[in-house]
Amino acid sequence: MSAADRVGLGWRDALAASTYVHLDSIDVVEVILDDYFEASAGQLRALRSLGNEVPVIGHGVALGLASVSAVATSRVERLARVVNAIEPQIWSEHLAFVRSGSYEIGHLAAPPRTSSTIDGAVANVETVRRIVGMLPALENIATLIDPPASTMSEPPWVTHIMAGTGSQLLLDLHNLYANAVNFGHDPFEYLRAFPLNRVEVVHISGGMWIELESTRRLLDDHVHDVPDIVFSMLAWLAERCSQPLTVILERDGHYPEFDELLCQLLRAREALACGRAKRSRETHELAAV
Amino acid sequence: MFTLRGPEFLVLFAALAVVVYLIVDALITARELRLPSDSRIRDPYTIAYLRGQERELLRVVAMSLVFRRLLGVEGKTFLTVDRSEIDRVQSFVEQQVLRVCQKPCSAPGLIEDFGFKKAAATYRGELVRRGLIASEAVEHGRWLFVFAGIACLLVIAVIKIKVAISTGHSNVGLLVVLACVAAYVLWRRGQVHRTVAGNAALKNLQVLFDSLRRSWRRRPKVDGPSEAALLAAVFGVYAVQGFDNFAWAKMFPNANDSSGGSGCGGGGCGGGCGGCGS
Repeated sequence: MSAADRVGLGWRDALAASTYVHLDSIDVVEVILDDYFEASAGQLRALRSLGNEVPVIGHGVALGLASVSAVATSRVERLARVVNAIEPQIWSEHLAFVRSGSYEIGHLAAPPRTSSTIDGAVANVETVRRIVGMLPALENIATLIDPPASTMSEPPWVTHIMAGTGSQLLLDLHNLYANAVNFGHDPFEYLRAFPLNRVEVVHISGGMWIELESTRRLLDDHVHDVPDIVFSMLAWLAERCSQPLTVILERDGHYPEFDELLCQLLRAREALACGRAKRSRETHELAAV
Repeated sequence: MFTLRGPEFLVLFAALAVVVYLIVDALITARELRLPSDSRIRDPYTIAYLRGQERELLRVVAMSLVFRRLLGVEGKTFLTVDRSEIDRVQSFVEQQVLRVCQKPCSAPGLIEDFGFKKAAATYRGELVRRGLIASEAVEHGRWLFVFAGIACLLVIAVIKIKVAISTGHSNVGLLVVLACVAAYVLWRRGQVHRTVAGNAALKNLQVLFDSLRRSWRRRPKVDGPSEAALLAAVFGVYAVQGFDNFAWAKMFPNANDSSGGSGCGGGGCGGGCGGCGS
């Protein structure tokens, strides 16, 4: 693990006390910005005070950046109020669409992967950057169906958006793994196709297998433990990235004993350390040659 | 102003008292905001001391020890469950409480124990060093403002009383009461043990964990002793499931209730609990 790599946890009300008393084992916490849109000044002050104890990064959920529709500035302004109040080191949003006009889908949906949605996402990220004053890192999402009307696969679509926006990538390894296995790709080959030099933050989480129209699909649900393969993918990623990585464990329900979550953080550290060690060895071998 | 009729002067005096209080409060706040402070506190016992000094520290320590089954409750007294655990606990204040409670000991007796007071003093020292609890210098500065405010109000009240008596009016009782109440309120402002930064730090913690406190009772699973101690430290032991019953409340009578000060060990340890089992 490089000295600058960090491993942390999503800040959740149910885990707040446990997280707080175990901050010695947690390098960073990620707060859901949308949860604080209606927060009072006192609540934002309290959240900011958390930043005195541990580095805080922010995560947006429902801007719906990956859409040909322009993102609503009123929503971005509410997000900007939270970001400006808590001053996170990094903030991020999903490459998803979540509404059409006034109709809310209710979850993160994968848009058609076309040049139109790339242009839409680039324009939306620029709007967000202008209002918030800080570029978001952009997160790949999981999908159970291959987005209809797509003209390209996910990795080049993400790569084009990264190039157009100048944003860093929040790589959700479980989302990536789910998309890979759901649509018949090798997870490591699929991972290799993403712009790994842009990865700044990594999400790890768990999911469950479901039947969808008599096809077996992996659903990213954040209420199960991180599968072994995601830790392997994290080690693989750490081996191939030179930049520091911030890894966040996402857990949104069915909470196990907190020691179990700490154990998963430890496994993430070990995976990072393993990948970094391999990278270091390879670098030395190359230098020797 | 001093020639105003009684009721009108009382209204004016009450308004003046409010203004004086606000000015004193603003001066104290402005002065304390300039002082360096470090509000990073994670240790539940330090937070408990910040919230309610020795009394809250003892409540949270006792709750944590009971939670971990190291301390038992017998009627209104505590009793160490297993003496061999005393040296195994990490915290000095926990060691002191377990040591004292080798013989049955009440909460008021524990608070008076020398060992406990010594342990509590380390938390106080830490919080003073961080600028969250008023040091002697900070308190001194506060009292200057408070006494100036009280003096200002009392001088006005005394002049009015003299004027009233000199014109043959003796119904000054309400003014005396009002002046005393105003002086008491100002005096209480000087007594706050936390600094402005300490108040803010505690408030931030209470806001940060408010959702958790509200959901705590509905949760099917109780978290570990560290989490319970943190919640108790921030909100009080009654915020923790299982510690909100009447029996626990009886263990800690109000600070002014002298009937609870029965000491420890059935009179076997003179001078409070000092030296019990040590």
